[in-house]
Amino acid sequence: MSPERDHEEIEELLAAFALGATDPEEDALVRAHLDGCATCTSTVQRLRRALGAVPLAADTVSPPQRLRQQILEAAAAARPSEIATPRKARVLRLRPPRTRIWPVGTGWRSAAAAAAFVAFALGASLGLGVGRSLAPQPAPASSVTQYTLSGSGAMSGAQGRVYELKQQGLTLVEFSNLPDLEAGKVYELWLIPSQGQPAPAGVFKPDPSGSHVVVLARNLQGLTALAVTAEAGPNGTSAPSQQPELVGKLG
Amino acid sequence: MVLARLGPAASDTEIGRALAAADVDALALVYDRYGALAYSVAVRILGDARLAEDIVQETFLKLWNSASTFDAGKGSLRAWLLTSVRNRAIDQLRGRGAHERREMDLESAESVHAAGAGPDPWREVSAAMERDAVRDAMARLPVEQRQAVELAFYGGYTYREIAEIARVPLSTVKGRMRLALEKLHSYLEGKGLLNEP
Repeated sequence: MSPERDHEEIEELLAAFALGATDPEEDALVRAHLDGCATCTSTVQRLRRALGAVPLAADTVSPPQRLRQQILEAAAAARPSEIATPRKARVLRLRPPRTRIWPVGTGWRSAAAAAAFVAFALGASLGLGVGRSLAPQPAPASSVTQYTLSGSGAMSGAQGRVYELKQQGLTLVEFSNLPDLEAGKVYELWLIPSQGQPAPAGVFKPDPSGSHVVVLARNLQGLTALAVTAEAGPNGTSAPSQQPELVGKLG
Repeated sequence: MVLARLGPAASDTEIGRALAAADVDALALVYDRYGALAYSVAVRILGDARLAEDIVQETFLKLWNSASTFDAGKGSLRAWLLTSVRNRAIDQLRGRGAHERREMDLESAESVHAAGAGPDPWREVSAAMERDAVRDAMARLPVEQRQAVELAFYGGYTYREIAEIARVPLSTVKGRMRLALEKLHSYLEGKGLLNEP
């Protein structure tokens, strides 16, 4: 294809490209073309300026009052580590925690295995195992309580900072220095109650720096510890397949 | 503290500096200024108040965590917020994961300098006039052109999907999108609502 022909075909796609309405392959083609074409770059900029006005025409809907406070509380809790060491921005996922009920009597996922997991998690968090003792740290605001998850073994050096926003019914867990996952694996966060079996609270993959933030739409009432294991992806499991090496006791 | 000097008419540059200094009040100012607009866009796309809430919260926290990279010279806070809310809402709508999202860094936010984004003591009045002008501009578009833009922008459809929906050739959809955006640009520029970079 001649450069002129190539230019013409790309030029036809520019509005769809600006709207994010091209296929991934076309998107890549346009981006590559824009690198060397000032005319098309200028056109895309012009179209995007117009496009930037489109959302202003949306019918105004007032957000709930609580949203403002939720955002500010979450920001106040999540920010401090970012100031000293600016790093690549992370995506915060606000999906509510899954509410699967712990299965009973599923092979190795038996009550005994779950009990052993809980015992390990609690033991580790109390300094009885490979983990370290955890104590609540001074909170940045009276309504925010902080805890820490500490890694051991293969997860030595990994850490999780937990910020419980009781008033908002929100908990943020900020992970750092998580080791790279094996292919096909995900990290799974577990909520460990004082009685009963660990409950899955979501799966995630850290960014290349080993960081990730999980947001739980709940407080930590009724829980004694949080723990993380590496499980089969993409959806994780309903019961932990191994003893956790990143654990934190709550309180 | 930067915070103490920030007033309601603070510019994006001033707010960006305050955000980078971890000034929560700066984030509150951004929310007060653009939160309802961001939420409205999310509701329009998702049709679900709770999901819209999550998307808006996610976007503001992303802004908070990326503030140190913000460069007001490369795009307004409002443009970044609305684009980010739109993209995240579309991902949610279409079941796309974050790994598929074209994540937009603050420093590379597209430049959209609509009136009302800078310091303006008459911000509310200015914003209302701006909103009316944009609605008027959208209403002036032929219905098939407006639909092409809205299906892509609010529905996350590709031009190929829109061609199937409308039962028209691909080139027709591409042409409608281009015409709509060019007309919109021309109209808004004529009203003095778009500043060239």
